[in-house]
Amino acid sequence: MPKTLPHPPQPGLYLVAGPPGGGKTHWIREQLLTHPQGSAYGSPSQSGFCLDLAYLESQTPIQTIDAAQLVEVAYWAQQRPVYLELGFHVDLAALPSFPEVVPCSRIAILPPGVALSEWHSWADDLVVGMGPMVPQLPNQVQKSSLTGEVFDPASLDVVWHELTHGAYGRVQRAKGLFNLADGSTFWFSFNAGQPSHFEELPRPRCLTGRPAGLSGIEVMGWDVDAGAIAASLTASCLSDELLHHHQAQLRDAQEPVATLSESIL
Amino acid sequence: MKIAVLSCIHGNFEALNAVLRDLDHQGAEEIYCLGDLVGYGPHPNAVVEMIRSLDIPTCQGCWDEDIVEGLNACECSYPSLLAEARGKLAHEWTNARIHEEVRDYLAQLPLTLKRDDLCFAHGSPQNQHEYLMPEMNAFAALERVLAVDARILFCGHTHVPYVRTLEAGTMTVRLHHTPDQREQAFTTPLRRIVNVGSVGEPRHGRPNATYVIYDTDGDQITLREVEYDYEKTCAAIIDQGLPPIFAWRLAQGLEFAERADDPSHVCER
Amino acid sequence: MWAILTGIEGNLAAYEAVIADLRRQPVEDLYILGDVLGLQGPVGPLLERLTHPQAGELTPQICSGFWEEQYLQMLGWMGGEPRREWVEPLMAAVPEGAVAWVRSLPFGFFELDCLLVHGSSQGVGDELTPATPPWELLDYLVRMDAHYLFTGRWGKPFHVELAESEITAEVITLDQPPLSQQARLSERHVIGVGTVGRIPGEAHYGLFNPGTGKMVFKSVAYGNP
Repeated sequence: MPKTLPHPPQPGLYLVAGPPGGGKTHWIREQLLTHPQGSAYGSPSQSGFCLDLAYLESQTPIQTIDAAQLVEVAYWAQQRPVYLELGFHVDLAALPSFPEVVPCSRIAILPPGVALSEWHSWADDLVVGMGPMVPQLPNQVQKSSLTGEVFDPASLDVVWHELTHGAYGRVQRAKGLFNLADGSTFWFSFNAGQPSHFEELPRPRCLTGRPAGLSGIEVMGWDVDAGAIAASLTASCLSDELLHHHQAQLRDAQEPVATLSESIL
Repeated sequence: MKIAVLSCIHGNFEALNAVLRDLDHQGAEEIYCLGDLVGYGPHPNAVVEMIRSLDIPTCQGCWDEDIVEGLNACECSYPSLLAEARGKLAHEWTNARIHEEVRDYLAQLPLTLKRDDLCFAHGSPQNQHEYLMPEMNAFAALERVLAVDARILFCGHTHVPYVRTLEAGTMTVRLHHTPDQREQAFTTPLRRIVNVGSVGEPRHGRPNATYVIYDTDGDQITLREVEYDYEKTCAAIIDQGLPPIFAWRLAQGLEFAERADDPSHVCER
Repeated sequence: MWAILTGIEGNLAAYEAVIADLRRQPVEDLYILGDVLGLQGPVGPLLERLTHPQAGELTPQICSGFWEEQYLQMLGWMGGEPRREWVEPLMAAVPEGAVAWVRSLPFGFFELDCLLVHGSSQGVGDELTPATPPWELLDYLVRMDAHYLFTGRWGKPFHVELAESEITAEVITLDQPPLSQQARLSERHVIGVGTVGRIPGEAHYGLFNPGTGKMVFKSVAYGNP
C-alpha cells in the first residue's frame, strides 16, 4: 500500500514522479480525497488534454493550475499543497528550479522491490506504488482525444482486449476515458502483466446529444500502430443516427414522462 | 468406416490442406463439409476449388450465402459495430475477388445433407444462422435433431467443437379437452449433436484447425485438432491487403469477428 | 380473465355471438389471434365493428394471421406465394384501404408468460395440433421462454399439457472435462382456441385466467340474423 504523507499536508510544491503505471495519479487521488479542500493539481509533462486530470476531476473538485506558468505554480504553492504529476519521460535533471520560498517535496512512486533507479537519487520521499518495475521504458506515447465520441460497449471491449494483448504493438501502459452508449463514462486502465481495471466515473449520464466531457485514450509502448488503433476505435463509435435512435430508446425506458398537468404544476 | 466432417474454412487454404492430410492419415474414407468456405481468409477461390476437385458433399454456410446473395446477413447477427465493420470489409474483399464459377458453385449448395440417420447442416437444419451452443436447452437441442429425423446432427458455425450426447429424456403429455382425454409418457431417444469446429478460423484459443472424425464402426466420434503453419496464412492475410488484425486474431485462436451475444437468436429474414 | 379467439374470417354474425356471450363474462382483455380476414363474409363491416367497439365493449388486441399474410402476399407487401384460387375471392371480400390496417398488425403478443400467436412462434402458417410431436411444441415454448402458447391455426380447440420434462446430456470439448447437464422444465401448455367463424352456426373461443392458469373452452351457437 502507498505510504501517505503526514496530514494535513502543508502548503508547498509536491513533485510526483515515477515509471508508467506505478500509481502516481492513484497516490495523488488518495491525497486529494483525504483533504478535498484546498489542493491544486497540475501536469506539466502533458501536452494537449490530460486524462489523469479528467479522472481526478471526476473524483473530487480540484483546483487545476497551468503548470507551465512557474509564477502561477509558485504563487499557489505558497497558499496550499500543489501536486505536479511528472510523466515518466520527464527529464528530472532538467526540471526548472522554483523560488526558495516555496517548500518543495520530491516524491517518487515506485513499484515494490525497486532498489535502484534515477528516481531514487532524485526523490526526498519514496512511496511504494504498484505493478512490476519496467525493465525498459516505453519509447512511444500515443494520445488521441475522443471527446464527443460514444462507444458501442461490445466493440470497445474487443478493441481494449486487442490493445492490451499486443494486437497493435507492445503496450506497457494504456488508459482511456470512454463514453458508452448508455450515457455512462468509464475509466479503463491497463498495466502490462496485470488485468485491466474498469471504473465507472460519477459523471451525469448523457442521454441527449454528444457528451461534452473530456474523453480520450493514451497508450505507452513500443511499435504501437496508432493508425490501426484509431481505425478500430472509429469502427466502434456510434454514428449520429444510431446515437440519436439509441438515446431515444433510453429516454423512453426511463421514468414515465410527466403528464401535462404535472408539468404545469 | 471413418467419415471426416469439416466446416468453416473461411478461405484458409493452409489449414484446409493440413486437415486433408490429417484425415487421410486417419484413414477417413468419406468427407462432408458444412460450409463457410469463404470470408475473412486470403484464399477463397483456392479453397472452393479444392473442395470441388475432391467432390466433397458440402452444405451452404452463411458466408457462402452472403457472397451469392449480396451482403444481407441480418445486421443483428453481428454482436458489435466493430464486428459488423470488419465483417463488411471481409465481405467486400471476398466479393471483389471471387471467381464467377466459384460464386455459381456456392449458390447451388444445399442447406442440409442427409446420409442415412446422419444430418449435416451449417448452423442448424432449420437455419444456417442459428448457433447451436453446447449450453442451449437440451430439449430445444433435441428438437433440432428429431425434426430432421436424424440420430446425429453435425453442425459448425460456432467455431468451437464439441460432442453433445442427449441422453434419454422423459416427458408426460396430458391432453385436456379432447374426446380422448389421456396421459402419455414419452421417452425421447438418445441423440447427438456434433459441432465440428472450424478449419480456418478457430475460436478455441489456439490457432490450430479443428474437425471431427466419425467412425461408423463403434459409433465413435473424435475431435481432431491439427497444427499447421498458420503464420503462412497470417502473412497471406497481410499480403493480400486484408486488415492485419485478422492475422493477429487468427494467431490467437480468436475468431475474426466474435460470435453473437445472443447465440439462440435466429435470423428471421 | 382473457378472452382469446381467432378465425372470424369475415363472419360478423359469429363475432357478434361471441361478443354477446362475452358480456356475461368477467373479461378484462380480448385477444384476436389473426384471421379477421377470410372468405366467410364481407370483411368491411367486421373491420368497422372491430375498430369501433361499442360503449362498454373491450378494444380487441389483434395480431396477424394466416389470411392477413395471404392478403399481404397478394398485394406484394410480403414475400411468399399466395394460393392462386383465393386471390379473387379474398380481394373481393376485403375493402380497399384495409391494407394499412393489416400491415400494422403485430406478429403476436407476449403477455406475462403467455405467447399468443396465430400459428407458432415461427410462422402464422404452422398448424399446431395435439398430434404435433411434443418436443416440437416444447421447442416453441422454450425458444420464447413462455409457459403458455395460444394458437388458432388448426381451427379446433385443444389443450396439450407438457409436464415432468426431464433430460440429461453430456458435453465433451477439446479442453474441458466432460460436462453433465440436466434440464428439467416446469409444466408448459399449448392451447388451441378453435375458430369463431369457420364453422357455420358454431363459434368457438377460449377464456383464460392468467392468474390461475385455468382454461375454459366456450362454444356459442348462433343463427343467421
